[in-house]
Parts: sequence; structure tokens; C-alpha cells
Amino acid sequence: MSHVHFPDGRLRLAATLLVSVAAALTQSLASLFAMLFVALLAVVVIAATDKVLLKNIGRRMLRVNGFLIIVWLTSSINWRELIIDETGIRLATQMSLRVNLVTLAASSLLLRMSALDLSRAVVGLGLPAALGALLAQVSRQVSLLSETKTRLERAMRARAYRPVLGFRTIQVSAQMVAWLIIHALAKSERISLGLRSRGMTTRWFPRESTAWRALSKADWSILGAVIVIIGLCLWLPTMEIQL
Amino acid sequence: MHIAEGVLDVSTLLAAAGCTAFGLSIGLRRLTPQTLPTAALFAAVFFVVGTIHIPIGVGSVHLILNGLIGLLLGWLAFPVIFVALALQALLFSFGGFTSLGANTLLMALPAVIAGLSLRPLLQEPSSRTKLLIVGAAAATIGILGATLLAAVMLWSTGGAALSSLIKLFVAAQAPVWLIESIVTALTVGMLGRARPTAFTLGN
Repeated sequence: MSHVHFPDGRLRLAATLLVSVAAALTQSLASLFAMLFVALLAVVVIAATDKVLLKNIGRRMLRVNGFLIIVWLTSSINWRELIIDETGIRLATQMSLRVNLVTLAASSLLLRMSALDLSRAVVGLGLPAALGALLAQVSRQVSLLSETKTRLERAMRARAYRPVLGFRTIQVSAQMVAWLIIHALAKSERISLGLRSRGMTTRWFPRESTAWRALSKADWSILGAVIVIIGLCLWLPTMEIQL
Repeated sequence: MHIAEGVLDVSTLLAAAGCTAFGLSIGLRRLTPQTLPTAALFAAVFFVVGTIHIPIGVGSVHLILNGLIGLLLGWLAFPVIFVALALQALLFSFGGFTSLGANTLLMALPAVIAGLSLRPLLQEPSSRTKLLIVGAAAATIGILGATLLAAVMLWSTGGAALSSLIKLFVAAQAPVWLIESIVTALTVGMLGRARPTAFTLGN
């Protein structure tokens, strides 16, 4: 089994959801701080061997924290009376910890997971096979349409087009959207004809995953570790650590 | 227009996920192996047009086009938007997996409303003016609906503490609505002339 498929996608997705749910459920700042610290540690360990990954996670963190700055500016101060809003500060603190925790946890737990792995994982976790099939198809079509869009943009640049705020830019953007949709429609007709000519049936073929029992202990260990860490972090407030 | 993971509280997330599950169940009934390639391609279009940016001052806005998706796909907008958002969460950390229900609801519900109310107007050959008006109306329903739903979700999470954020968020959507209305109107106008059958998919 390659490193890309280890640990099992279903368990990684379940672990990510578990962290997100735990973060949403707890109100304790101590628990959130502890979980964020562990997530940060995990990312540092993983990123030590992969500089590209570090850059990728850094970009994601910058984006979510840009939003959090706006949350802090708007909710921590009562701008009419120019006084500090205690409730707003607590809410902004909780939000900041949760957003950073979930972003870090998702970045490390879903590391190198492809869209096809995701489609197999969601069906394995009980979502309808049709949704898995749609997810798998979309991941294939996104790369093809992205190439088409890149080609269009290159052709537009060759004609000295530069996007600026104005009706011309909006008109050109609308033309690009219309062209992408027409391209998609023409392509879907070709795909439908191809599938029909190959005698496509009208039922869904579920994407096979490894049987739960066949998963190794190493696979389960990642989910086990996440459960233990969350349990310990949620238990922290009962130890009367005040933050 | 994504709500980041960790922003909404559990009750809001659960309520939104329940509504999305209902919408998905209706949408998936219309998804057959025959309609799958078209739905997948539209989900890919929705994903790709999200990367088209229109500069405004020092910043830029990106296209959402949920109204257009509703016009083209009707109830299929729910699975299509769900899948596109799941991919954005996986590849770019836009939104997230526990907020996937909330983000799908706020984009797909206005899309379905736009589709149900405006698609009947496009079932027969239409004049260019009619196409432009329908396009602009779809974008208006899509963006204003999404803004309203996001504001309700933020209010139910933070109440008065988030009121300034909500006001800022709503104000920030004004240029998005204006640009999106023009883009959708022109796109519907072009599609209506080049491919009038485009609006009969998912019927």
C-alpha cells in the first residue's frame, strides 16, 4: 500500500470530522488551546520533511486568519461607544482557536488525499454511491476545464487583454463563463454517447473500499490517537486550569 | 462566500446540515447515470468560474454564479454545489467539512429558488431582453438569498456580538451582487442564443 493510501481515507476523514465536531462542541478555551497546540505540533513534524507542504499550509492559515482579523475588529470593540466588548472578545477568541485548529487538523489529516480518495471515503462512510460517483467525475472534469480556462486566458493575454474594473472586463468574463458552459455541454453529449455505445446500465456501481476488518492496526491507530488526544483535551477543564 | 470551519455553533451547523440533507435527497433522485456527466461538468464549471476574479480597487471579487447554476440545473444544484464545495474544502481549505452543510445550503437553496421560479420562463425561445432580465433576476435571487442565509446563520451563532460583522459582510456583498448580475445576465443572453436547450437540463 502506498503512502498516499495510508492510513485509510475513511479513517482520516472520520478523524477530521471528529476534530471539527469536538472543536464546535467545546466552549472551553483550555481545551481548544490544548487541541490547537497538538495540531500545530503535528503540522510542524509533518512539514519538517516537506517544505512545499509548509508553504501550502501557510497560505491557508494566512487566508483564514485574514478573516479572523475582521472578526476581531468588528466584535471585540463596541465602535459606537468605543469600549471593549467582553462577550465579543470571548466569541472572537473561541472562533480564532476553532478556525485555526480545524484548518491545521484538516491540512495534516487529509494530507495528499486526492479527490478520488475523498469520493471513495465518503461512500465508505455511508454517503450515497451517486454522490461518490459525482465527486469522482467532477475531480476528473475540473482539471480538463481548468486547462480550457488557462488556454482561453492565454489567448486573451495574447490579444493584450488586461482585467481592470469596467464593463469590458465584466463582458469578457461573461463570455468566458458562457464558453465554458457551452464547452461542458458539448463534452457531456460526447460522454453520454460514448457511455451509451458501451452499453451503460442504469444502476450505480459502488466504489469498493477495503473491508473494515481488513484494515491494519496501523490504519486504526490514527483514529485511535485522535480520539485519545481529543478526550484528554476535553478533560483538561475539569483539572481547573484557568485561562 | 464561504463560512469558515469553526465559525458557526453546533445547533446552526446541525440545522443547516439537516436542510442540506433534505435538498440533497431531492437532487440525488434526479441524478441518474445518464445525467451524471452533465451534472459533473456543471459542478466543474462552478468550481472553475470561482477562480475568475474581477478587480475592484486594490482587491478583487470572484464569481459565485449560484443563480446561474440554479437556472441550468434546478434541484440538481444541491448535489452539484455540495460536491464542488467538498472539493474546495479538500484542495484549498475553503469552508470545511463540518460547515459543508451550511455552505451548501446558503448557495444551493437560493439557486433552487431561482431555478424553480425563473426556469419556466426560458422553456420557449425568448427575446434577448427577456434573457438578460431573467439572468439578472437569477443572480439577484442567488446572491441576496445567500447573503441573507449567511447573515441568519451568523446571527444565530453570535447574536448581537456579531452584528457589526454581519453588517460589514452584507455591505461587502453589494459589489458582488452588481457584478454577478451583469455577468449572469450576459451569460444567459449568450447561452439563450447559442444553446437555448441548456435551460431544459434536469427537468
